[in-house]
Amino acid sequence: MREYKISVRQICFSLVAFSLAIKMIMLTAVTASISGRMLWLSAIVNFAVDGLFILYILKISEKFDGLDFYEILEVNIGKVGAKIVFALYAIIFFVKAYIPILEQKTFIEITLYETSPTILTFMPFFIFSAYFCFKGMRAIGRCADIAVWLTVLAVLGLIALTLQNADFSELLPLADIPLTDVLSGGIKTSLWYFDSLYILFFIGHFKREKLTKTKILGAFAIEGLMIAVFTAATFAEFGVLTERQFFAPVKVGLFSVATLNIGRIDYIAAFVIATSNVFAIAVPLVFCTYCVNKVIGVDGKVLTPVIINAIMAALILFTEKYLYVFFGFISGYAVYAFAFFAYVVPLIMLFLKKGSIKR
Amino acid sequence: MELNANINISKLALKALIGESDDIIFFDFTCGEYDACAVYVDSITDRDMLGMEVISPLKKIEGKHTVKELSKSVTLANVELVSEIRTIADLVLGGHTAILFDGKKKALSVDLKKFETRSIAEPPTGFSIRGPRSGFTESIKTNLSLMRRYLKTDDFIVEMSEVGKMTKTGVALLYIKGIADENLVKGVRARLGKIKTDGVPDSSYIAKHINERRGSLFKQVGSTERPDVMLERLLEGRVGIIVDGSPFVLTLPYLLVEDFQSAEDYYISKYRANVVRTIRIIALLFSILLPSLFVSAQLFHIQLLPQNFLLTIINSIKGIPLSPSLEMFFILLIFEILNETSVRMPKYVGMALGVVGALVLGETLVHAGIVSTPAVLIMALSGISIYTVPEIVETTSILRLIFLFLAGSVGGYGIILISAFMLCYLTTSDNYGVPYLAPYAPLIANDMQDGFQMKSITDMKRRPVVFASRNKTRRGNENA
Repeated sequence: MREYKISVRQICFSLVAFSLAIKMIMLTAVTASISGRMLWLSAIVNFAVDGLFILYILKISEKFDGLDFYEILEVNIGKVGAKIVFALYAIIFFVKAYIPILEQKTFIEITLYETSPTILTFMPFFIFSAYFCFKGMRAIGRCADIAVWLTVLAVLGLIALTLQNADFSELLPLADIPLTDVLSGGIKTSLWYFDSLYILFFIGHFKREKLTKTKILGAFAIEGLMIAVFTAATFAEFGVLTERQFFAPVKVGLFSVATLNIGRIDYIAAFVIATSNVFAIAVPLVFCTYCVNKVIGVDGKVLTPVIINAIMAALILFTEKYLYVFFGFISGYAVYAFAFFAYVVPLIMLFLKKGSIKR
Repeated sequence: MELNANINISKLALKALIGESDDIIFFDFTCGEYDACAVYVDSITDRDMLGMEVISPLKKIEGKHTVKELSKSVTLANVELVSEIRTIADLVLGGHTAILFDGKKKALSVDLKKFETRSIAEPPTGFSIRGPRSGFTESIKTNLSLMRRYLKTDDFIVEMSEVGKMTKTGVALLYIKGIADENLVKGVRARLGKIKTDGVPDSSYIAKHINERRGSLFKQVGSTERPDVMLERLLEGRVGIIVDGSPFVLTLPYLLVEDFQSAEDYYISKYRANVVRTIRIIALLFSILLPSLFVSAQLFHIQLLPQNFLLTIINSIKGIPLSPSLEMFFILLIFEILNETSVRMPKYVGMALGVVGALVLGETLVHAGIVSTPAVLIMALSGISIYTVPEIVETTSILRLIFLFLAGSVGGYGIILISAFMLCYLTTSDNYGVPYLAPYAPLIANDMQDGFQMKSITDMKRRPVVFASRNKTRRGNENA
C-alpha cells in the first residue's frame, strides 16, 4: 500500500500559503503595466483557467485509481517514455523556479539590505532549499500547515494597510481597457500561475476524501480572491503609479497612519511574506528534484537536491543582471511550454488507459 | 558452574567471583545439622531483616530437611532456590542474600536489599502551587508505588528489565494496555533491549540511547519528576520508563508542545492556563529572537525601529567600541558565565554572585561605556524569558546563539532562513511514528484541545489522535 505524502487539507493550505505568497511581490506591478486598472481581472482570468484545469486534473485522476503521474505514464508509454516526459517536466519546474527566486533575491536585497553582498545575504537560501527538496512533498504539506496562517495574516495586514489611502474610484471606469490588454496581462504574468502543475504531481500521493475537489478548488478560489483584492487595493492606492511599485509588500503601507506613528510595521508583514516565500520559491525545485529522481531511478538521495540547487544558485549569481531579459523570454516564449505541460498534457491523459502497477 | 555439596568448595568458588571486595560478607552459622553461610553485600542489605527473618528462624530448625523445606522457615516472600554459582553471585551483587548449606546443591536467595533513599518530596522542577506535592525519587520501587497509587487497574502494565553490563540498572517500562499503541510499546521495548552499555547512572543515559535522531539538537524524549504528570501522559497513550537511581521518569513519544504545558494548567481555570501558556510562547520567542532581531535591526534594518526608540539607541551607543553583534555576544558570554557560576557555586554564594553579576557588573559595564543600556536590557529579558520553559533550555540557549550569529552576519534574511530551516526540520521529524510538531503540523483538530491553548478538562472528551490509541474516549463513555 502506498504511504500518502500529503493530505487534501495540506494541498489546500499549500495553495493558500505558498502559491499566494509567490504572487505577492512583483506580480501586481507587472500586471498593472499591461492591464492597467483591470489588473485584478487579469489575475482572475489566470485563476479561472488554472482552476478549471485543477478541477479537470482532479476529475481525470479518479480514473487512474490511486496511480501517481509517473505511474500513469509508465503504464501507458513505458518506463523510458515516462522518464523522458519527467525529464522535460524537470526542466519546466527548474525554469518555473528561476524568476520567483530572482524576484525574491532582488526584493530581499533592495528592501531589506543596502550594501550587503549577495553571496552573503541570499545564497544561504539554497542550503535551505536543498534540504527542503530532500524532504520532498511531505515537507511541503507539513510546512504549509504552519505557513498558511503566516501568509494569510500578512496578506490581510497588507490589505488593511492599503485600505487607508485607497481610492477605489481609480479602478473605474471598467470598460475602457481593451479586453486584449487584460488577456495579454494574463498571459504575460502567467509564469506566476500554472498551479495546476503541482496538482498534477500530487495525484496519487494523497488520500481522496469527501469533497476533495470542492476543498481544493475552494482553497484556490480563496487564493485568487486575495490576490484580486490585493492587486485592486494596491491600484486603488497608487493608481497609474502601481506599475512602478515593484515590491508591493513594502510599498502599500508606506503612507499609512499606523506606519507613520508606530514605525514601519508593514515591514513585519513583508518579513512574514518573505518567510512564506522562502518555502514558496523552493516548491518548484522540490518537484524538479522529484522528477530528476524519477528519471535517474533513485529516491531520497541527498545528491540530487544539492546539485539542482547548486546549479540554480550559480545561475542566479551569474545572471542576476539579466532579470528583465529572462523575464521577457519566459513571459514571452517559455509560458507556452508551461501551458503545454500544465494544460495540454493533462488533456492527453483523457486518452490514456487505466492500467495497474506493481509496487 | 553448579553449587557443590561441599560448602567450602562453593564458598571458594563464590569468593573467586565476588569475594575481592571487603563489603561482601560470608557469615557462617549452623542450621540444624547443617553448616550454613549467608553471603551478602553489607552496604545494600537490610541486616535487621536478615537477622530476624532469615538467620534466626533457620538457626531454630532441628534435624534434616531439604532446601525447599528450609526455605519455608524464612518469613519473607521473596525467596527462591538457586543452584548456579554465577546466578548466586549476580543476585548477591543485586542486593539479595544467598544462604548456602553444607551437603546441599541448592541455595536460598532472599531479596533483602535496602538502599538509602531520600523521602518523597516536592520535585524541584515542575513546581506548582496547586496539585499534588509528591515527586519521584531515586528508588524505582518508590516510583512504581507512586504510580500504583494512582492506577488501580489491571491494564496498567509494568515490564521490568536490566540495562548496563556493570550496573545492571533496573528499568521499568510502563504503559496502560488498550490505551498505549501496541506498536509503540513494541518499538520502545525493542530499543531498550538493544541498549549496550556498561552503566546507567541516570535516566538521561537511557533517553540518549532510545533517541531516534541521535545528532538532533532538539529533545526527543519527554521527562517529568511528577507522578501526576506521568499519569496524565500514560492516560493519553504514551509509555513511561522509570530508571532505578533517577528521579526523572521518561515518557515517549515526545511532542514539542508538551513542554509548554505545566502540571498546574490542569488544576487552575482554563482561562488562566491559556494566558500562562501564551506567555510561555511569547517568552520563548523573546528568548530566542529578541537579541538577534535587535542586532539585525541595528546592523541592517534600521528602518524597522520606531523613531523614538531609534533615538534612544543612537544616544546610548555613542562611544561604544564594539559592533552591535560583538556587543551582544559579549553580554551573552557574561550572562552564560554568570549563569554557569551561580549554578556551580554553593547555593548562598551563588545567589550573592547573581546579584553582583546582574547589578554591579551590568551597571559598571554600561557606565564604563563598553556596552549599551538597551543591549543589556535585551539580553536580560532574553535571559529571564528562557527559563519560562525550563525543560528545553539546553536547546533554546544554543538556538539563541545560532540566531544571533546569523543576525550579525546575514541579518534579517538569515533569521528568516534559519526559522524556515527549523520549521522544515521539525515538521518533518517523527518521534516513534508521531509527528514532532503535532497537533500543528500536521494539523489535528482534536488534539488542539490541549496544545498551546487548552480546553477545559471536562471538554477533553477524546484521547489525542496522534498516539493512535485503540481506546479513544476519555470522558463521557463507559468504556473510557
